[in-house]
Amino acid sequence: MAERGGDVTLEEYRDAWQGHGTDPDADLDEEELLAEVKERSEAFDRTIRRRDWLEIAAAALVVIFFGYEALTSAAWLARIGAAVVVAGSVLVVWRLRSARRDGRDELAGRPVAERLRAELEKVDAQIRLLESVLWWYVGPLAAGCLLFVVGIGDGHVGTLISVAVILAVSVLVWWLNRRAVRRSLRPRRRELARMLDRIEANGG
Amino acid sequence: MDDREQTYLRLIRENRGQLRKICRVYGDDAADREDLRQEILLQLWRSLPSFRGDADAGTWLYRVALNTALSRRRDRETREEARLHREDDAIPDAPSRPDREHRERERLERLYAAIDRLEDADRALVLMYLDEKSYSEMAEVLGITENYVGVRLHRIRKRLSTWLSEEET
Repeated sequence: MAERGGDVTLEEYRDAWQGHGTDPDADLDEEELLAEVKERSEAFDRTIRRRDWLEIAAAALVVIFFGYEALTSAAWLARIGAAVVVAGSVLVVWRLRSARRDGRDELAGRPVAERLRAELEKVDAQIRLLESVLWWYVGPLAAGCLLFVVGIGDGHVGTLISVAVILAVSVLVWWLNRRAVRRSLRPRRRELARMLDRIEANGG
Repeated sequence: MDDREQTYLRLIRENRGQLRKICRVYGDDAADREDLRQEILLQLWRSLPSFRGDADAGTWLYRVALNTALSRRRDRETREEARLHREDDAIPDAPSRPDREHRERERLERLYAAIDRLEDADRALVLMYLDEKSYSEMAEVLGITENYVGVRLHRIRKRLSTWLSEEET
């Protein structure tokens, strides 16, 4: 079993390796550990619930405001715009929530290669999501807002400024998402693929 | 105390040595190792309900710990957090201990330093090899074939032996 690559074999280090780190934790109070882990786990769940709640509350506000406008506005263009914003908001919340179902806790106990493949698929899905942000996020909301603003506007400076602001914010959101793909998701994908290759393929 | 709590504490108790070594190998310094330990303990608790007994409990714990450690390092590398220095302080200093123990400690320092030179994925194999896991257990943890475990391990051991020999001379 011993593999000689020089004068020393790894086996010679096994005793030292196995002899350390096994002594009981003198300061480990199991009750305390359990209480702490449960508290942190609950805090994590609370954070997720708060984020979800905020997201839904924000969407609900938009839906209530624009829904009301869609039903009552005098200008038909504003009604159409408001209806598009309502539909767009529902679409955004639905897409974001379905993209977040990651099953992280279940995957943590799966073999490393399987977990890496699942993460790779998830990153690919995120890349697709952010690269298509124009069609499911920026586009519908911007189009709806533009129709609404033009519909209720008088065609003068105020309307023009509103249109310019909507366009500028839309371009900014689109650009930030593209940047997130370039700066964060692509490097993450490369790293995952490299590690998966390292574990599965004949790398090295 | 319910079943989940009892199982959790038993797992931690029976595998504390392995957890410490995983944190030592994948953590940069003492604070980082403690953070990693906390993260693994949390993930073990959260993942326990999904443990269906399709693998040995020790194998499952190894998977959770390695997945957490590897994922954490990937996240940090992706964020390009600069790792400026490493403090090799995991093995407590014991100047008054007998010579034999002192020598063992030095050997461990050398071993850890050599393992630190490996890629993250290769470190996992070495950890399991040193803990005398079988090829089939290693394959189960990593999700690869036993044959490939053998091939990969052969190369890694060769490389480590060379580095350790250089260190000792």
